[in-house]
Amino acid sequence: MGDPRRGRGRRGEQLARDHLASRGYDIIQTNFRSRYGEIDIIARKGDVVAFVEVKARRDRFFGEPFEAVSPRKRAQIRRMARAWLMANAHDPAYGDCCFRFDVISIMLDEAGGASELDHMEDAFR
Amino acid sequence: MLARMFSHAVLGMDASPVEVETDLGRGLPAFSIVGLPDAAVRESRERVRAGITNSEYDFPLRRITVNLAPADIRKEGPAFDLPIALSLLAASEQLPSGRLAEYSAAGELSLDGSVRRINGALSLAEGARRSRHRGLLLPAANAREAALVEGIDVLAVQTLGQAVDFLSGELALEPVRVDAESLLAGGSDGGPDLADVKGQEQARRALEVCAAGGHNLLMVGPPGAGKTMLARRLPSILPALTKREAVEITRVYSVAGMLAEGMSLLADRPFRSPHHTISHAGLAGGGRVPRPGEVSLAHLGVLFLDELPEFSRLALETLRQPLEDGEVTISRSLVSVTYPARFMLVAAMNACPCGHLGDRSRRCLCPPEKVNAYRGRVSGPLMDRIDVAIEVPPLAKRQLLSSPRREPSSAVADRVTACRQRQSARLGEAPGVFCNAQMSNRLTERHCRLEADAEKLLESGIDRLSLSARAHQRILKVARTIADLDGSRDILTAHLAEAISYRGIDRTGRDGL
Repeated sequence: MGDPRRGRGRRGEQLARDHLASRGYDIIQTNFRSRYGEIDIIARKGDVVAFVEVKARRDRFFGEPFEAVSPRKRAQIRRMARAWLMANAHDPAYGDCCFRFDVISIMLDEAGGASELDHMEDAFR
Repeated sequence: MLARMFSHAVLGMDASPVEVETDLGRGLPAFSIVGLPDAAVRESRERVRAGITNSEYDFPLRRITVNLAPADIRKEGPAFDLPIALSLLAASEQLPSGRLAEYSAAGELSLDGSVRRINGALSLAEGARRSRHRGLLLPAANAREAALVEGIDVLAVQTLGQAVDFLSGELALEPVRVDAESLLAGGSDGGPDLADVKGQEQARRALEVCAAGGHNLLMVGPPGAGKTMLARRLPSILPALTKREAVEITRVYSVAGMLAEGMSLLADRPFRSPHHTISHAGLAGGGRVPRPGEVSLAHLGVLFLDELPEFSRLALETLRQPLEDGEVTISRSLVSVTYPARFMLVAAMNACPCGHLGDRSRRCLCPPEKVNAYRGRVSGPLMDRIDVAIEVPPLAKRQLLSSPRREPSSAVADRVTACRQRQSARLGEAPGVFCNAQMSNRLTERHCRLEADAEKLLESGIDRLSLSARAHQRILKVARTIADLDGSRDILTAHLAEAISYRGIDRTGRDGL
């Protein structure tokens, strides 16, 4: 891998997936992408579908990881969620679902493990 | 996943029914309020969300749409927080919707889920009674004023949780009751007493006549003569409020948001004395959605304008409609509202800009044209609406130093009350007319017949003082009041003569003084 940042991002998403799976979520899709951007993880638990944004950092030099989810980023995620819904609305599997935006904020340690992991449910609307 | 409940929107003095509908739809979570909400109503989203979560309920993860119907009347203020929160909880099945539609609710939510006071609760209760709701849920801080309305159960809630528990039948709430009669009797002692005023026999008499007939009064005199002192004692000689009057006053103050927390009936006649720098909007009422001004806050009481010529011309001219009609209509681009404004106008001014004209012990240095300009600031049409204008001369040293205690207010008030009773017995059949000053031209004609001698006196008076038709009517009304004070059925020459003497400084500056 060329860019170490991308590697850290991938590592963070891996940790987030593990966390979600351990909490009983089914991962529906990862890195759902269109020309507008990307949703890191789409996961489901019961009748809640969560659109999850993952932020991983090594230190707090630039603040808490979740602070990087700016209003612009949120608008982008909302737009992406709408696009995903358009593509999947006909699927009866999601008939009674609620939709939610989550943020998972992770501090990475030297070994590439998570020294802290914070799952914010319903982080924004 | 639809729920509805009722509330009311206060516009002017009245409340019109509003239906609060909440729909929980599929889709990305969102919360929108439609139905012509103003900024405070749109902000209610944030309060409702925090109020619900902090009351340990779930804020539904749905696309929430709140509609305030009918959509063509403007909704303002935070009073919709409570009904929005309740219908939202019902739509998300955290509250059985069975009893919801039978009640109406109003209240501002605090972020911790407690219910805060709102304006116009008395009008809301009237509205809920008219809409035949089973009860009205209100903030505890407003419940006592709303309970003045009979025929509707007012239920006081402190928190959103209490409202929910009541509507789901888990909490019994006793309707709030107030005893209007005892509140009315328990008013203050009427403020300062007329017994404190030294000398000023003519002014005391004029004050009594004005109080008896509800006439407007102008006092002209140098500073320190006691004009303000006299005016402040007027409420103490006015007849006691009836329950209906007290409720009307309370309603104005409720709409204006000027009732103290937990306050119920206002049992004293208002006395308002705005400073002369007041704007016309402050006096008549105003704002984007107009709120009551000083003329309405003085409803059924006294509006005292000290230094009358110093008020802006615009402000003084706005007094003309309320003085004539007893109400004031304020039109803005959004709405037009009418507030009651049946007050007694008491005005005071100096005779000239320096204030010493008419004071024998000091010299007035004002050139005549300045005196004329000063008095000219009070327009003819406004002067026409003042029934009694008197001079209040400075007190002589002798009067200042030794004055026996004068007649107390209570004695004067007894005469005034008796006189008012005579008037209402005579005017009984005319709706909305309680005292001589309010008589229409037709009523004046019927009740103010003059003897031939008196007729002649009036004619010469009209010539001498070049009086307008309106002034002529007003002289007759004042004469009627004086006759009533005298216990006389007919208006005698003496009564008329006194009434004419009160117009002596009508065209002040040019003659007189």
